[in-house]
Amino acid sequence: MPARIISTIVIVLIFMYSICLVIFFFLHQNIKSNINKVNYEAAEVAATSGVLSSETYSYLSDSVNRYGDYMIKLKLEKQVKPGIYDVFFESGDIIDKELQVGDKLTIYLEDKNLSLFGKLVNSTILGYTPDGFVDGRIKSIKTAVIAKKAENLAKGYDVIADIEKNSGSVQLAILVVTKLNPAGKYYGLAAHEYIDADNLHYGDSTDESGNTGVNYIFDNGDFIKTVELYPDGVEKLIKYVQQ
Amino acid sequence: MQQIVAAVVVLLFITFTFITLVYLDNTNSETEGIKQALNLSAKAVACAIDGSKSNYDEMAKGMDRSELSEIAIDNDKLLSEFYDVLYKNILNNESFERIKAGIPAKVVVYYDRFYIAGNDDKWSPPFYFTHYSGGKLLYLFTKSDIAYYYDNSGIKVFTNIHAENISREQKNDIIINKVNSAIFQYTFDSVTGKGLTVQIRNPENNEAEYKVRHSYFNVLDGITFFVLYKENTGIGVDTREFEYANYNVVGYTVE
Repeated sequence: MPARIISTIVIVLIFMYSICLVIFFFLHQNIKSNINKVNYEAAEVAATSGVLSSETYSYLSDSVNRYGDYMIKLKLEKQVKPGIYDVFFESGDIIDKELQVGDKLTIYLEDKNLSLFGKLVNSTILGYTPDGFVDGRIKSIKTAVIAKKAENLAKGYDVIADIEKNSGSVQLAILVVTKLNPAGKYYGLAAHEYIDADNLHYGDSTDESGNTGVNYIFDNGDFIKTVELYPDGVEKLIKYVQQ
Repeated sequence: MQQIVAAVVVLLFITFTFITLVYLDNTNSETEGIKQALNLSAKAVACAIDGSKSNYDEMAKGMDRSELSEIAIDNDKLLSEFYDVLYKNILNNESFERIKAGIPAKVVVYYDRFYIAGNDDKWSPPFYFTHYSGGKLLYLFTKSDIAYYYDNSGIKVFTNIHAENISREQKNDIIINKVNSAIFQYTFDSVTGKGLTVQIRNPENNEAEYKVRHSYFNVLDGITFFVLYKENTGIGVDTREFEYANYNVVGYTVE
C-alpha cells in the first residue's frame, strides 16, 4: 500500500513537472519572440529616422521591462570616414544624438533573471540536480545600419551652399555657430533685423579661411539646423550649430 | 499497473506533442529572426554610395539633380557592409554561413539597368532595360518616359516611349520581366526544374486585385537593393517527404 501511494505521488509529480515544463517553455518562447520584435522595431526606427530618440528608448525600455528586469546595452559605431569608426557605449553619447548614414547602432537586451522555464530546468527535482547551469536568460541583439540621416542634420558643404543660395535674400538670415565661435556669425543683408552689416559670401575673410579660422566651416562637419519663421510662415533665420 | 500504463501513455503523448510544437515554434522564431536580420542588413545600400562620382558632388553642393542623374553604388562595398550587418544580427558562424548560402541572388536596380550577384558574390555585367521596337533596340528608364537607341551610324538618339507606341505600363512590365528573368536564371534549380520570380509592383497598373497582390514590393522608384532568401527544409517521414519552404525578399531604396 505505501509503495502504491509513493508511486502515485511520483507519477503525479512527474506529470505536473512535464505540464509546467511545456507551459513555461512556450511562455519563454513567446516572451523571447516579443523581446526580439520590440528590439527589431527600435533598431528599424533608428535606422530609418537617423536618431535613437529618448521616446524610442523609453518605448523599448518600458516594453521589455514588462516581461522582467532587462539590461539594455547600446553600442554606436560612428563612421568617421569610410571603414573607420569611433565607438561609443555610453547611452548619453547615443540617445537623441543625430546619426549619419553609415553609422551602426547595436541594441543588446538581456534579462537579468532566469525565466520560469530556466528556473524549472535548473531546479532540483526529486533529489536530482542538473549537472551544469543552463543559461535560460532571454537575450536579444539587433544591429542597424543608419540609412537616413536625421532631418535636421546638415553637412558643412550644405551650410556653405545654403549661404550662397540665400545671399540675396532680404528676409532670411543665416547664423552659423562653430565650435570655435559659440556666438556665431551672421550671413545675409544688413536690411535684415538680425544683421548689422552685409555679409553675403562665405570664405572672403580671414576668420573663415584655413583650418584655424574661428568661423571656418569644415566640409564634412555636422551641423544641426533649426529654423525660425515669421508669423506668416516665411523663413526668417536658419541657424546651423556645429556638433 | 493500469495506473502506470496510463501515466506512460499520457507522458508519451505529451512528449510527442511537445517535440512537434517545439520544432514548429523554433522554425517560426528562426524564420522571423532571419527576416528581421535581412531587413536590417538590406539598408547597407545607403552607406555604399560611391562618393567618387561627380553627380554625388553635385548633390553635396545642393545643386538640383535632374531626374536621370543618378548616384552610383559601390557594389563590392555594398556586399561587404550587407554581410557585416547580417553577421552582427546572427552572431553565429554556422547560422551565418547557412543563411548566406540561402541567398541565391542579390540585385541592385538602377534607373536604366540592374546588376545581380549569385551565391559566389560575383556581380554580373549590367543588364540594361532594353526592348526591340520598330527595328530599334530601345534603352528604357524606370522613372522616365525618355528612351534612347543607337542609329546605324552609332549615334545615340533620344526618343520618347509614347512615340515608340509603348505605354508606361508596358514599359514597366518590360523592366519587371527583365529583372524577373535574371532572377529566375540565378535561382533555377536543375533538380526540381523550378526557379523563383518576384511579384514586383507596376505602379501604372490600377487593377484593384493586382494592387492588393503586388502592394509590397516596388523596385521602380530610386535605386533599390534587394536580396532573395530561399530555404527548403525537407523532412522525411517513412516514405514521404514533407517540404518546408521559407522564401524572403527584402530590400531598401535610396532616392
